[in-house]
Amino acid sequence: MPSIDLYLKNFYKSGDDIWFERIYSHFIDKLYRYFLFRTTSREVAEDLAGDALVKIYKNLRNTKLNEKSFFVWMYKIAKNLLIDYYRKSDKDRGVDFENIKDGNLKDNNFFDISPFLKKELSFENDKLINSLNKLTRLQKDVLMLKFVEDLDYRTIAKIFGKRQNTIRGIVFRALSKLREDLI
Amino acid sequence: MTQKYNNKKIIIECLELLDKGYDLKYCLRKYKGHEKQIRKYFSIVKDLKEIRKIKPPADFKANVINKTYNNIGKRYKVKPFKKLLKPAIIFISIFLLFIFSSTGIIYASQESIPGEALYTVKRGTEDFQLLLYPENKEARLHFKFLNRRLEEAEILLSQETPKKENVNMLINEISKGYQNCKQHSCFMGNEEEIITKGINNINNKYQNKYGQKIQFKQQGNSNNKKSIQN
Repeated sequence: MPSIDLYLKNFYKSGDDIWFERIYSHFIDKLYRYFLFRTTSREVAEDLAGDALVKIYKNLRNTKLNEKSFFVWMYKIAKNLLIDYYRKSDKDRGVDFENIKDGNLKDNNFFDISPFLKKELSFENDKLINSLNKLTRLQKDVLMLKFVEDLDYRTIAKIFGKRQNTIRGIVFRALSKLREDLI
Repeated sequence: MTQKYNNKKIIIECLELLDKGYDLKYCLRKYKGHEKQIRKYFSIVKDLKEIRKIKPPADFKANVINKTYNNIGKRYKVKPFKKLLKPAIIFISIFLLFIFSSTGIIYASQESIPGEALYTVKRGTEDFQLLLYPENKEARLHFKFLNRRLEEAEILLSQETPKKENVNMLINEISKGYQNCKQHSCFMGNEEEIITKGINNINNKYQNKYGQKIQFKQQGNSNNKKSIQN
């Protein structure tokens, strides 16, 4: 598959939607998984991914991104949508949404979905899911971006506003925890 | 503490190597004695990568992009005309450049005389003009060209040391041109007289320069030849 960089260049050059559709095919799986593991609902994940796509489509023309900066930008859009979603749902339940900040997005939602994964997504590795649930939200996020979404340390560091070495340390500590738990 | 630090260093380095495209075997070879530790970490990484298999349903993937377009209410498609605009502009520019540069060359060549680089362009243009001109007007063109040859011969012979072969070539052309004019009946009024005077003038200049009379090549009927020599 050609690099997303090429599609971005062509999109900026011609503005044709055909290039946006090729860019979209590169990121839609990532976007969907991001929302799925944080909301544990296929419907909500689909809605949020759809909303994110609209935002990306509306704003991409006004940017000048390459592959790495695109993913940083995309995950920032996704994170903001997720915060809005939690605020709205907590408000509906009467929770003081003012206290929900970027740093304390619901920790228990992420990967706390073993039956869901098994039932709806046929993902059978219970042990891994249970061990992942013991990690902090940041550790889970970083592991997902590094090994599931294949982003490099530099991009992940930019997404979280941390240094690359900090991210390397987080990856090692998270893997060590999983190793202790699994073996 | 040191053991843990070493483990961290090795695992982080191995992950970097994998990012750079090396395989696990390379890493195991590089850190001999740590194979067990490395394998444990990398089996977890392998399991984590399995999560990639979780993908959005096919119908979602197919519909979400159209929903996005509907939501925004417009699509931006580059029209075929717009796609062709750039190559068309390039083509037209090259074409115009070619036309203008060739027009410039043709214009510049009009003042050239035999022996000059642009003279062939001048003659080529004349042949092309003869091809394009309607037959009924061709006669006037022959007359015009004969006049040009005479002018060229005068210029050439007024030079201090013109190349004799160029002069002879021109004299031949004048002879041919004169006969062509006769054939196409292109002389009107006293034009033939004027041309004959011009030829005689050239003949004199030639004689002054080279000490001999012009030897016209034998073409057409001999009467024509005589008339030129007279």
